[in-house]
Amino acid sequence: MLRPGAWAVLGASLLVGTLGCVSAVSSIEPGARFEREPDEAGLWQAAERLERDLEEGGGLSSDVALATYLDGVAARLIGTDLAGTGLTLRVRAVRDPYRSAFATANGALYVSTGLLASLENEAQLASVLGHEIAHFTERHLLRQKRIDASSEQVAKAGRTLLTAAGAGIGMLALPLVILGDLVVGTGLEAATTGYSRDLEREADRIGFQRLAGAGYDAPEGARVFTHLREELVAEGAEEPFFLGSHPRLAEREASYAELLQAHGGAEGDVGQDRYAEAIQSVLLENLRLDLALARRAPAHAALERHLSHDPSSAEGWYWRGELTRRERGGAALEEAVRHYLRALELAPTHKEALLALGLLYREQGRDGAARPYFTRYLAADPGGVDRELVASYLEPEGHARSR
Amino acid sequence: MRARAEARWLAMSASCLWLVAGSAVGAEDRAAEEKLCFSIPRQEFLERVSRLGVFRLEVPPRMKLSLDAQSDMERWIVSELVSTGLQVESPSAIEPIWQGVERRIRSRRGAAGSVEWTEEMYAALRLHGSHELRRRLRLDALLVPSIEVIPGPFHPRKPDQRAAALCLVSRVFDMDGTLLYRNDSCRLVIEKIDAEGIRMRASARMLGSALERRYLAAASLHVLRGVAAPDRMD
Repeated sequence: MLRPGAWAVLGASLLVGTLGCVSAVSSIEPGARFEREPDEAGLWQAAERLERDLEEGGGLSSDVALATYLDGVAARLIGTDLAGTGLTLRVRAVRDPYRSAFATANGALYVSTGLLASLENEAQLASVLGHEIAHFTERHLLRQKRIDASSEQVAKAGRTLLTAAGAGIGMLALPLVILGDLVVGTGLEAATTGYSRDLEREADRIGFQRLAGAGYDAPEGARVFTHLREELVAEGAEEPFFLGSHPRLAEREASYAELLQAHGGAEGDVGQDRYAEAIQSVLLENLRLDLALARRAPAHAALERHLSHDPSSAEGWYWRGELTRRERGGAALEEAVRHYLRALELAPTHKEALLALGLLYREQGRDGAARPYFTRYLAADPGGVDRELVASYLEPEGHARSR
Repeated sequence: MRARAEARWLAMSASCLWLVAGSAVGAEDRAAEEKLCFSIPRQEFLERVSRLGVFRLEVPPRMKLSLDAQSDMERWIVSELVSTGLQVESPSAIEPIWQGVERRIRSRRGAAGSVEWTEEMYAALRLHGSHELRRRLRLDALLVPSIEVIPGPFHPRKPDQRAAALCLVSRVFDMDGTLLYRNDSCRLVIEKIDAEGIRMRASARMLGSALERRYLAAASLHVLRGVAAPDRMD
């Protein structure tokens, strides 16, 4: 039997061995052609499969302008560091209402629509992306994989953090992605559950350097984790992702506070207006996803943010009508109708508002009131997939049923 | 001989089911479990949902489950819901209305049966299907039962032990498609796990007996049923 002292020596030897193995992984070197390690192939395959599944399965936001904007922020952060490596960096906005972001081994960075809807400015986005870029350039997935291989406990702890929170069944549920669910069993788990403390701190340090080096406002960028933690506290919830976990956020918060103190906190580019402009469609897209999971607080926050940015947004007023009707039902239908009508004042051919009014009146048995809205809807969208159905609503009840 | 084997199987099934389901319904876990299952406050769920429609049971394409077994599951799900005091419309009442909407959307896009469904078409189906069900059956919500392969720690005393198991999952959506309830934490493992956590090959006899199917149907709804009968558990 080993004495306690011997255990300590053995433990230290194992630790040194582990770190020695991990330190053998080199960072991606600017100008040098990137070569995969033999045990990195699986991580690349998983990354490519994930990218393909998300693209083919409708899991990515279709907002082209947003994609260009996100790639632009990432390009500003990475500078010329990938030149000559044969690698490319790209950012994908995933239709996931929870706050999440992660990097895969092949240079794809994923940011959820929930996180984009939550961030306040471009400096905060740059802070998150800088951190994720550091995970990529320092090949943390490979390093974590080697740590996990030598430490069964870490591997298990990481996996048990994952939760199955997805919604998506048959034809009833809105398609959305829960990134944490998607990577189970792929080898990419660490990217969503969080890396070891040392690797996270390294990503903090390098990410912060990129943030400041790209001219972003360091104090504002560093504030992102405080902002996320405060939002979670206000909502009284944790989310199935390490960015939605209080302890993990608190660690990042403390780490960035140290880095900021050492840096001196020089001010820089916040990018408030640019960011607000870029995410307007995401706010509403994510609102739909939030509603599908009954996440009311973020849905309301997104709507108010959108309407304060653009008070004459017909889409915004339509969604205010929807929120009113869905949450307060019969008692607030008149109020919901006023919001739909406001949307139609701003955009007389707003299809969803026309259809919402028509269906609302039809459900109440007020076919006469519904008719003009259905007629206008058919005129506004002559090629709609539901044209035949809506046309049938205009027919006398018996006739429509007999068809 | 066969009867004895069946009886032993049933006894084993019941204890296994109790083992797994019981791990999720301990008194101290009840509040947390309900919080996980309900996406709106339970009281609000009670106020909002009194008429519930039950969809057809969804089964993985490769799973062999006879139509009779599927019907049994659906019937017992309905009866479990009725026993809580809910007004329930069965799949046979829901299906023709839903399919009528589906047919009209599909016919708009070409020859019936050969149309590839787009997200736009699904969105229209969700909107108009729900509208018709709300208008004609006055439903407040829809329950969708499904059998799914779910990864997770299924042994009550070995949470680190990972496995993937077939589970009966029940989800309740309101008529706007908002997920109100999902028996996420209280999922019931169809594949058997014995007292030592050893997973047993059950596929050949999966859902083999009527009584077993009934256990599954009841247990998959036990939190939802708990709304009306908090201490009742088969």
